[in-house]
Amino acid sequence: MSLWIYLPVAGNSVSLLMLLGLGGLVGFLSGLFGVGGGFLMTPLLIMMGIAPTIAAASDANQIVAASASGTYAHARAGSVDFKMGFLLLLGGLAGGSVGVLLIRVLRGLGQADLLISATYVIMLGAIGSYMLVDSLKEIRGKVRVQVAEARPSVWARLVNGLPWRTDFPRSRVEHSVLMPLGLGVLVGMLSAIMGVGGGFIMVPVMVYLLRMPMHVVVGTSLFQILFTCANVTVLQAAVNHTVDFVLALVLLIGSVIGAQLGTKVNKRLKAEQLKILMAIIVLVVMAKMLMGFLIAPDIPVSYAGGH
Amino acid sequence: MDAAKKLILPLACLCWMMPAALVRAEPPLRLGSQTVPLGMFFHGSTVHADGTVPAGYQLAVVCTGPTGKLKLKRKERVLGLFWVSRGEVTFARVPSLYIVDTSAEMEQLAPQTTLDRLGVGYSSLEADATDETPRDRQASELFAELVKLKESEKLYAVHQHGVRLQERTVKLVDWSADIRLPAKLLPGDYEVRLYGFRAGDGELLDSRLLNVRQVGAVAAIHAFARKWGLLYGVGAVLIAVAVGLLTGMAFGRGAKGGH
Repeated sequence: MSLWIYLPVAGNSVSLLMLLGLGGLVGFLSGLFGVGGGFLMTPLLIMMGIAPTIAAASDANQIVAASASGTYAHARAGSVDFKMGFLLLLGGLAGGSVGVLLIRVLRGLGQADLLISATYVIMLGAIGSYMLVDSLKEIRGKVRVQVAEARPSVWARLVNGLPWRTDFPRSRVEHSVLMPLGLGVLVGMLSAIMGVGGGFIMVPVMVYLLRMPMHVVVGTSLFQILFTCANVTVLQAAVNHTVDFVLALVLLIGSVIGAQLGTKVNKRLKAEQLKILMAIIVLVVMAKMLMGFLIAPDIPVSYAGGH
Repeated sequence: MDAAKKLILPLACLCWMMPAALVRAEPPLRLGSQTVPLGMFFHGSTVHADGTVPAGYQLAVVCTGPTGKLKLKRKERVLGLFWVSRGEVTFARVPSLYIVDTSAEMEQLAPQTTLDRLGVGYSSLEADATDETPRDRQASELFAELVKLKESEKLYAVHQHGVRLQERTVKLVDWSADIRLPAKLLPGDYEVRLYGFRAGDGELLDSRLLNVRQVGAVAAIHAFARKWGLLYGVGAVLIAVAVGLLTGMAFGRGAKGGH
């Protein structure tokens, strides 16, 4: 059997074992943290010589499988908050549309790429650092005594003052429906601007702003990613013809197995441990991006059409 | 007896002339294969080329892919610190593949103007690629970067001494070369051209078409993706969901059994 496979839409031949391994690794991260893994997979596929547009679109296709597998596993364990996920998804779809328009305006203004990249690095750095410090505090048992109920913060007063409050029993929280909808719009906008699925932005948002338990966060994030990536796959295939199903199929065979293993590991780890690992991943991605901006490229041109 | 004598002379003449006639029938350029099939397990290919040419020529074999417009993103330093993409560069006519094999160093074949006129070597491509855009002064630098990018993908290459020459007679030389096609190969009509150089001048000796075609499942999937994009996308999502759920069920059942 040949260890190389020719991709019909990408028009390139790649190592079968490398694709399976890559799918497995990203699927594992997906099941463990509830992220799509696009921020890791797409650049690696581009490094393997696949055109950026085809890498991103085919990656979305394989994330559908990994997130379906992960969502099923989490749903069986009762760790998917469908009500919350549905509201976040609605907001995310609306935010994605606004983001696409916004990026067009930003590009017209010139320095859009620098602005987007800088926002990305700062945001990832802030989220990753906050999660890391917070989780380390929790592990060391230095959690501050909660005085929020006695003297609610400005954020808490704002959130509690919103209308249409409803109960989310699975997450054991009560919020206004405007909270998940609004945050969904925000993450959807950022995802569209940055060209990523948004899982690693959504997870901290659910943990820190919606105060959902970490295990429910992962399952709910995967549920939402399933629909976002299915939408991207269909649109890319219909409009740009950039989905390479053979590429996606090989990746997803690896990723669905990886996602199951990730889910099993997720159940064995404590919430603080998961947060620390997630924080490290976010910080690594941030560092990688920062290096990309600081180090002079060997070849300062690349094929147009990617993110 | 006289009749036999009458036959011997023309037969002898025929035997003497035959090798020359045969040689004349041999083309200067032959390809080992006219078609390169892109099947599911394609991972690059080598096309053998050979032929016979008059003695005294140095040779260049040029293999080119379909030519078209190419857009590139250009990275520039901003604020003296950050490398970010700033704008796109469009090259008017760029071959998707450009592989040159020569029998000698490129500079020894002919003067640069002759090479450019014939389309042998990267600099001959530059004029064609940059006559419309980009319109700035950096056109040459950008083209050099484009060549570097293509070389990194093995789509552009110059193999000096890639053509082997072997003297057959005083007047004729056999030559051969192996054209190495990379793994990243798009379907289309490719062309292989043989140029001969002597006394500082050059000419096109022969050319052949090379058909690069997708076959079997690769061709079927590609055609389906192009013709029925929406259906293809929906199908890709449904299969992905089915694979994901089936794997989830399989693992779930395994986990139950374990307890």
